[in-house]
Amino acid sequence: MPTGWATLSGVFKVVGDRPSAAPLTIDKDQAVCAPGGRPVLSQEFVIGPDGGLANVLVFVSQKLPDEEPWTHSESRSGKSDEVLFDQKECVFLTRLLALQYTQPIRIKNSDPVGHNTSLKPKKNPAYDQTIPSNAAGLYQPKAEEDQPFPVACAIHPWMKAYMITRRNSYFAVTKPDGSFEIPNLPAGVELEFRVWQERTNFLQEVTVNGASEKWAKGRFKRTLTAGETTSLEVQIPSSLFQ
Amino acid sequence: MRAESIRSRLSFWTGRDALAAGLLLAFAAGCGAPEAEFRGNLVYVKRKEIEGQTEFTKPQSADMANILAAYFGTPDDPHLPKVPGLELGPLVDLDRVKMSAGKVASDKTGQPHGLYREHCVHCHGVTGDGLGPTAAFLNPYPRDYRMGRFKFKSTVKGQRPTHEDLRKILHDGVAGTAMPSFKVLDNDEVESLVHYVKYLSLRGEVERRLADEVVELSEGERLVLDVSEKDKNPESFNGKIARLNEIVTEVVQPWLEADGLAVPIEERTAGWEDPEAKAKSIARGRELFYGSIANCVKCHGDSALGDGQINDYDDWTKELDPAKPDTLSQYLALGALEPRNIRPRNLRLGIYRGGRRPIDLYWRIANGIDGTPMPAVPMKTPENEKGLTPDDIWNIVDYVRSLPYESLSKQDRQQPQITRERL
Amino acid sequence: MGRFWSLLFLSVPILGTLAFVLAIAGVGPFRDHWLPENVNDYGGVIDQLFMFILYLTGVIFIGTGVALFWFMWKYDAAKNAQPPVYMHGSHALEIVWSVLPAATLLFIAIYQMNAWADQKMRRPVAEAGPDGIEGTEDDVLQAPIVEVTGRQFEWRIRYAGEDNVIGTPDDVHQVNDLHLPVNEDVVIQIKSMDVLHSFFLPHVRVKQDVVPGMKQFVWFHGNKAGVYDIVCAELCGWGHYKMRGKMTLESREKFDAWLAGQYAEQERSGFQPKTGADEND
Repeated sequence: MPTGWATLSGVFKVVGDRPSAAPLTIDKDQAVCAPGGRPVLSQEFVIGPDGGLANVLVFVSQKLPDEEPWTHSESRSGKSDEVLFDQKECVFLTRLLALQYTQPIRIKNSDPVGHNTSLKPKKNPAYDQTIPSNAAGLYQPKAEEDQPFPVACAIHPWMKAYMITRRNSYFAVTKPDGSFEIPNLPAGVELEFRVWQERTNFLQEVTVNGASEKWAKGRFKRTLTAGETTSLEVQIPSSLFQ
Repeated sequence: MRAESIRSRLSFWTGRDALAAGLLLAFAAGCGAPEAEFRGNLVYVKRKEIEGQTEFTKPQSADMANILAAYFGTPDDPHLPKVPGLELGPLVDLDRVKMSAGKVASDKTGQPHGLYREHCVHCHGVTGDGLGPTAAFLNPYPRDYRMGRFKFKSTVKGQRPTHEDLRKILHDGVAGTAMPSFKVLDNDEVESLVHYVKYLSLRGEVERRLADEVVELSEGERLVLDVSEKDKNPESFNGKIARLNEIVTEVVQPWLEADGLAVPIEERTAGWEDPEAKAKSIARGRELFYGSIANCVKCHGDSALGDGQINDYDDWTKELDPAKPDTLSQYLALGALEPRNIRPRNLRLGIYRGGRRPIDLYWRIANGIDGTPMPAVPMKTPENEKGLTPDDIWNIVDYVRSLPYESLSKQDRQQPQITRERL
Repeated sequence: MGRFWSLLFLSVPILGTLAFVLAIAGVGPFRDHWLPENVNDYGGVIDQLFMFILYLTGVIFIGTGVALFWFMWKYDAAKNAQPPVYMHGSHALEIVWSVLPAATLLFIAIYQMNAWADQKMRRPVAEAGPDGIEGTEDDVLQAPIVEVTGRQFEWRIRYAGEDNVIGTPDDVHQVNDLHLPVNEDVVIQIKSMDVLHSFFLPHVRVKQDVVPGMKQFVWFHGNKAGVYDIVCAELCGWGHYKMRGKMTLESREKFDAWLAGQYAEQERSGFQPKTGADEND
């Protein structure tokens, strides 16, 4: 039985030679998508100046009962506030969107050209609609997904993003500096987490707080202490991004 | 003289007859073909292995095959999954499936059997994987049913087709492809084939889900336990069976719902066929075609020749990751077909794969085309001002239907002068 | 040994003739093996030519077969002690067996000229033309009622529709299911979309290779309503065996009604899903 609440936080860093992002081929609407002819780079991995890796998803992968003491009242299922998913200059502004499946997603197009946003989830109904310029579409997920699913645009095929819907709020996506925090986790019980990044998929071999760990299919287990913040400094070799 | 004739008789036997006997044996060896077997979805399994950086163990692969055999049977002896609470009845009828399954034959009453093998196997394969012996020679490739995605239907993109949708494909064929029309077959035979296609599709989808499950298993874990474990470890055993039944239910559920999800189309206002009204509609349709709400020209091209976007792939090909040659070569080694780009339809040819009726074109535009990059158009709602009304869609349909008759579309220029016309 | 072989050779004309007799009678394993029923007014002459040649060649076949047997039997080496006789040849015999076949062939060639012209060259005339005389150059030929395009592996059908012009928006498209009016001259325009096929209507004695790039016409005058076969008679690929269609000859009223129904379905612009009853029943 959980003994209280704890927080899991940390930072994901890439160590080694800095990998360079590949340039994308912009073959449509160049005036909007590559203004001034500047090169557009792939956002498959976004590494900050300190090596911080953005857009890494950390979530609790085991099924927890939805009420206390297992799930905090602020993290339980049932959130219904709308989540915005926007695109501008032919780039999805959120590379990895994580939300509860009860929340509706407003898919917006802030470009002067039309886009068509195509969602291909595994357990949810698919969505593929043309979103005219400065208009929005609405998508209501219905179920929890086990892993992120891709988002694409048929008119601008280089555009990519990912989404994942979860039951409760025990997930986090690392910020540009690689940091994340998941508060209100049940303490005193062994929790199974899963880590996913777009390029490396479910992370397998990493260095956590100096010690090397093997995460089978991206899974690692931790038991948190009530009232405390467990911090993980995760280092990922840059060879995974070459 | 006697000795000579005896010798000549012997050589007669050893020479020519030996050859004849040898030939007979060679021919006879070809008799008695092996029993047809379902082929595993090796490409998807490989893809899961690569994604998950793992390998399916032999017991796990054997589990998958056994589970599928237990739920769905074999090509000669099919049966339907028995899951508590799941009623497959009207969706897939076992008697009809049996009529299409098995070897080609007809019984005493003249009722044919083995219809699938007679009509479909050479393109669609025994497993419904679109990898039959003639598949590699066709453009476009035959459909792989195992994803449960079908392009031309009356339901929205992402939903399953209705029974009527599949029946229409069999009845009318798919114009512009190698899929022929089966309208000359008896109604019963066509119905039987539709049920068999659904059976293969369900089986294929369950196989994919099983592969998804295997990837998520921990080291050494199995999909299902040995029957001997039933008493030793009932909770685990039953738990696994329950999970498998859940998978089958998840696969069947969208099919059961599909028949009620055909998108209804309001009959057009009378007089739409009058030349004046039609001309107005076509002009408005042209505006919308080139406009920024429907965005048709972005893919179909400025001249509607389908040249606006030629680098994309359909969903079945996307699974092969055509942009990554290392993994692609592995999939090709397992029998996948060479990836081809999917080109948006050349609207000036007058060939409509999903049907040429106005309602067919309406569905393509309003619902999108499943498995392809063709999206649904946004409909006008109180919250979304920038959408199309049904009349707008009809305008686009009228414009599209008028394209083959425009002077730009006349094909005579492209063909050599017919120099020899017999009367 | 020799006489055994001569009997073996005798079996050839015997079995050959037997096969044809049984096939014409439609007996036993030869059921449905003979020519199908001819429902074309212009098709009778084809059958006549066929039977004439069959009888002619049949007589020669039996004659030569029996003669071969007879000589093998009579002059078998085991039974004949006398040496063979050599002769210089018979001038009269040589003249007879040159002139007779030549005359026969000439007869067949002249006899069939009209049949060929009627089948392949003389398209039915719709109007006599300005000079009022049918059969002259200025005649207005009957326009095709339908265009059949052979394609691997189906027959794509396109009716001219109300305006009687093929290639306009009011055309009715079909696949493999050809309906035509009976008791009328019917002209069909045929072409190929890809490779050589052959448009074969067995019951109407029409067979014409469709050549890519060539536009051709076939015609007939059906005299019995019914459902008949369309078959491809030129090897066109792996699906040649299944390139079959259905031709239905029906009265003009029924045909018009059918065509109108097909056009209405082709122009269908409303759809309401079926409610309630299971559509499989």
